[in-house]
Amino acid sequence: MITHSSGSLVGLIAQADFELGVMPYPGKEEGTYASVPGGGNFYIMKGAPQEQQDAAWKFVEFISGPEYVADYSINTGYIANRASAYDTEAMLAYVAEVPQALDTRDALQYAGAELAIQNLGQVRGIFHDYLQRAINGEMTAADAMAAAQVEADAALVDFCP
Amino acid sequence: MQASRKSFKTLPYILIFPTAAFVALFTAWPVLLSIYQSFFRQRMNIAKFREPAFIGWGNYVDLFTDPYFIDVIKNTLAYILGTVPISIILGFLFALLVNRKVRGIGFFRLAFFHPMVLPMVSAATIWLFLFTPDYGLFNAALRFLGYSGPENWTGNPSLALLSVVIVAVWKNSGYYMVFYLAGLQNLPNDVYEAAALDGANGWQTLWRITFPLLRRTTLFITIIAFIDSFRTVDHIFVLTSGGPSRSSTVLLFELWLERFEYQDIGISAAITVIFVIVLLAFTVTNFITSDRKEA
Amino acid sequence: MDSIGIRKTLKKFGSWITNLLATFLALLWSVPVIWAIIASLRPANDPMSRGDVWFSNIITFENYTRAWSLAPFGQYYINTIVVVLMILVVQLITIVLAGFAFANYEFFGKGWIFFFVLLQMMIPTSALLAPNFSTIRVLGLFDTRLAIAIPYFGSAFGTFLMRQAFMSVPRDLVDAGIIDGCSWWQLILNVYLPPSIPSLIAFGLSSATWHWNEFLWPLIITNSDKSRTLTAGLVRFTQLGEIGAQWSLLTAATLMVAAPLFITFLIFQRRFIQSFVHSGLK
Repeated sequence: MITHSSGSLVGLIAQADFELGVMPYPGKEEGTYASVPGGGNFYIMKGAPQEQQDAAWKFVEFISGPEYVADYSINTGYIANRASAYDTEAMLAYVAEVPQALDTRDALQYAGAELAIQNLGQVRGIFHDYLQRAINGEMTAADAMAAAQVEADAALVDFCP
Repeated sequence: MQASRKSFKTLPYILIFPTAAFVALFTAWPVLLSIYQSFFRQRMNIAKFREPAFIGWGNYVDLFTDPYFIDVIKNTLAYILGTVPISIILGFLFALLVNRKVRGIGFFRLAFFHPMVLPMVSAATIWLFLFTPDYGLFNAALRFLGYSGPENWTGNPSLALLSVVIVAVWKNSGYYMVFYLAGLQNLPNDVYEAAALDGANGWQTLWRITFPLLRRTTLFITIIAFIDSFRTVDHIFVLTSGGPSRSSTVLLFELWLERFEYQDIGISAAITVIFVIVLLAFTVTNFITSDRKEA
Repeated sequence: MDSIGIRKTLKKFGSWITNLLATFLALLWSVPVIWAIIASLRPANDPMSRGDVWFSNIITFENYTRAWSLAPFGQYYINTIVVVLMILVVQLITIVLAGFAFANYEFFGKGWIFFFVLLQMMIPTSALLAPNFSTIRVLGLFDTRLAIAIPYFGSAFGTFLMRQAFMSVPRDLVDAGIIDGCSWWQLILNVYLPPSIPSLIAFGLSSATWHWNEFLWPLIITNSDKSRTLTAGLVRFTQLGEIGAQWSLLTAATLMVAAPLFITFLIFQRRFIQSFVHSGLK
C-alpha cells in the first residue's frame, strides 16, 4: 500500500505486474474517507492591460476545455478538473480499460480543502515536522497535532489584524 | 626582488579593479549588508513586517533562545564530528593503500577519488536508492553482515543525520586521499632507511614516523574538511529535506529555510553573520598554518 | 626458517592482505556508480525488488530518452555549459590581469588590496546566499544565467594561483622583455603566461568542476527553465511526486547530469587530480 499522487497512476499501472487498486485515505471516523486534492491554479491579474487579460482568459478557456483536460488526465493519471471531461469519447474509452481512473475521481467526494494560509512555508513546515514525529512514533498523533497547532498559532499571530 | 614601476602608477590598480570590484560586490558588501540587516525585524511575507524595524540584538536573542536553533547547532556539530574525522582517517588509509608501485594501482585511485567529480545531487540521488528499505543495496549489504535493525535511513529521525554523514564521507574521502598521497610521496627516504636499519616494523614506522611527518598535511586537510562540512547541503535537499522532524537540519540548511521558505530577512541575516564568524575563525587558522608551511 | 625468511613470508602475507583490503574497499566505493549505470539500462517496467536490483533480461536506453523528454535536459545542458564557460572565460581574464599586477608591480596598498581579495577565499558564496540574492534582485538579474555566474567573475583563488605562478617566472626573463620594449600586455602574453599554463589548466579544471556541480546558488537564483542548470533541474525532476521510485529513470537522469564532467575526468584523470590538490589551497 502506498500513498501517492493521482499523477503517478499511469506510471504505476505500467510498472505493476499485479492488479492495482485505488482508494481514498481512510477518514478520522471509522468507515469514512478523506482526500486532499492539490493542483496548480491560474490567476489573471486585475492590473494587467486588457489585451493581456483577454489573452490570458483565452488560454484558460483552452486549457480547461473538456477535450484537453481529458487528454491530460489520460496521459498522466491526474484527476480531470472538469466533470464534462469524463463524458468525452476519449475518456469513456479510457475508463473502460482503466477503471482505476474513475476511482481517483471518486475520491473527490470526500475532499477537504488544501491548506491555503499565510506564512504557508513556515506553517506547512511545522505540520510536516509533527506529522513526521507522529508517524515515526516519537509522539502520539493527538499530542503531535496539539503541539503543531500551538506553533502554527504562534507563526500566524502576526497576520491577525 | 622587484623594481618599482613608478611610471605605471595607475595600471596595477586598473588591472586589479575587476577582481576587486566583484569581490567587493559579492563578498564584502554582502557581509556588511547582513550585519546591518541582522539588527532589524523584517519579513517579506508578513505585511506589517515588510519594512525593516530596528530591534537591536533581538534576532540573535531569538535564535539562541529557540530550542529549534539550538537543535540546528547540535545537528551541525554532530554532522561535523561525523564527517571530518572519518573521512580524514579513510583518506589516510586510502593513500597508504594506493601509494604502491603495483600495476593497476590507478584503478584503486580512480575508485576512491571518482565520487569527488560527481555533483553532490547526483551522488545523493544514487544513495537515495542505496538507503531504500528492503531492497536498497546498503541495507542488503548490512543484512548480509547480520544486521537486523531499522532500515529506513533517511526517514528515521535517529538515523537521518547519519545517512547524510555517510554520503559525505563516501564523497570526500578520496579528495583527502590525494593530499595524503602527495604528502607521502614527498616524505624523505633517509628517515625510512634509518628506521629499517634500526629494525622498526610496519606499524612502528607508520605511527612513529609517517603520521607525525604528515602532521601539517593532516592539519591542512582538517581545516578544509571542516569548512566543506559547513557549506555543502545538497545531499540534505535530496535525501531528507532537513528532516524527519528537523533531525538533519544543519546551519546552512536552516539559513536557506529562514530566507527562502519563511522569508525572514532579519533572522537569516543574523544566521549569515554567525556563519561568517565561524568560517572566518577557521580560515584564518588555515592561513596562519599554511603561511607557516611556506615559510 | 631463519628470521629473514619469516620476515619475507610475513611481508608477502602482509601485502596479500593489503591487496585484499584495497580491492574490497575499492569495489565498495565503486558500487554506487556501477549500480547506477546498470540500473539506468534496466527497462522501466521491470521494477526492483529485494535481490533483484541489477541487470534485467534486456538492456535498454529508453530511460535516457524518457528522462530527456520528461524534463528539458537539453535546455539544462545549454544553461550549464553557458554558465560554466562564462565563468571560466571571465575568470581567466580577471585572474591573469590581477595576478600579473600583484606579481609584477609594487604599488601603494598592495598588501591590503591582496588581503581584501583573499576575503573571498575565506567566505564562500554558500554563506552569503541571502544577501547576494538581494543584490541580484536589485541588479535586475534574477533568473538569468548571468546571475548564476556573476558572483564568481572575480576569483581570489585564481588570483592567488596566478600570482604564485607569475612570481616564479625568473626575473631575468621579465627584465629582458622590458628591455625589448614590451608593453604590459605583451609581457603577460610572451613572458608570464607561457610557463604558467599548467596553473591555468589546473585552475580551469577546478573551476569547471566546481561550477558544473554547483547546486544551491543556481537553485535559489533561478526560477524557470530558461536559466536553470542541470543540478537544479535534476533535483526538481527527482522530487516530482509523480516520478516516485522509478530507479531506472532516476539513475538515467542522474547520470546524464554527471556524465560530461565524469567522462572528461576519466580521460584526463591525472590533470584533474592535480588540479584538486592545487585547489586545496582554497
